[in-house]
Amino acid sequence: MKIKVNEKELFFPEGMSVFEVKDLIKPYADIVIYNGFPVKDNVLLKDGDEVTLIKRGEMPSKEELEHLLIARHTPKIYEKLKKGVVGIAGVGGLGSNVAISLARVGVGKLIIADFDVVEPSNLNRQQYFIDQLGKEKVFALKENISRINPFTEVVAHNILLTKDNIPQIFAGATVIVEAFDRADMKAMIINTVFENMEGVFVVSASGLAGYGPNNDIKTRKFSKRLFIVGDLVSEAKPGRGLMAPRVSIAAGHQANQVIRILLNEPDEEDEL
Amino acid sequence: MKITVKLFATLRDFGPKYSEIEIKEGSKLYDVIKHFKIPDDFPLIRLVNGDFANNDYELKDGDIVSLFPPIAGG
Repeated sequence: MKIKVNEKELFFPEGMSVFEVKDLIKPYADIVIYNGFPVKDNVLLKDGDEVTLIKRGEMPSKEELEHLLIARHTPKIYEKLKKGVVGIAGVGGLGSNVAISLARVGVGKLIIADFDVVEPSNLNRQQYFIDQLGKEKVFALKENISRINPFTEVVAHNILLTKDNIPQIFAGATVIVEAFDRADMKAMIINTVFENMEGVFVVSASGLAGYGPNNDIKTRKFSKRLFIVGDLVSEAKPGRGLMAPRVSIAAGHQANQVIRILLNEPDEEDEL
Repeated sequence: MKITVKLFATLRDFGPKYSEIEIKEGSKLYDVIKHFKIPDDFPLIRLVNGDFANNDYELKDGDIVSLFPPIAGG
């Protein structure tokens, strides 16, 4: 009979139990999950069952983690994402959330750039922890990603991005995520990529502050290489701050658009 | 010659969402930006017929100019 053990399909003789499989494959596992539920009592297996064996705190091998991602995303999709190279300009609310989403789906290489350090006010929406206060954001984020998917390569640049260094910093990226806070910086990177980085896509964000309606946040294709996420009006200003839920919605749009670009999914240009 | 200009978001303080304007032969994109009195330091994304264009782009009859101001927050 065919049993999926830790996402790999294996064949066992009829009549085997879940604990026998555990003793055979991973005798030191602390936790046995049978068809999605942790079990303490032994169960007789049947064809098609799924067993997950976990040792608390143990790091899975690259192969095991790849099998897990392949199982979740289907092999062809995983292989394409694994070859993906994505630049992320700014790793605050948008950038840190986008980076973690892309690492979770198994994008092969992330080039991240920012010059800020983690401040207490950042913890309201950014993917950092209280024990990382004062640390350079790019290094803190690289550390956090390594705790989720150590097999995503993260190239971290602790640097102020300018029109002069952007082409070099993000060389090799198929798509750049604009995740800055300031409007002038947003315009600067979009214009720089369009003028100096032929064929590179930009996924930008504009209008995501406050707690306005969820569905006002949209992804629009402005040109062949430019997508803009947001409601296009909700500026961050005193009285309308940046808050985790709406920033996460926008970051989710950006990350999904990056995946669509890496997978060559066609998107029609929006009527502007 | 006649072109169409689309202004987005906060740029609507400088003109209507959609307008058709007459310009002289040989006009550049920058002349349109000046037509609407948009300050030089205003952060802008400039598209002509859906493609990126810079201030020196020479406009043609029937062009569609879209000007978009990125909005702060990230």
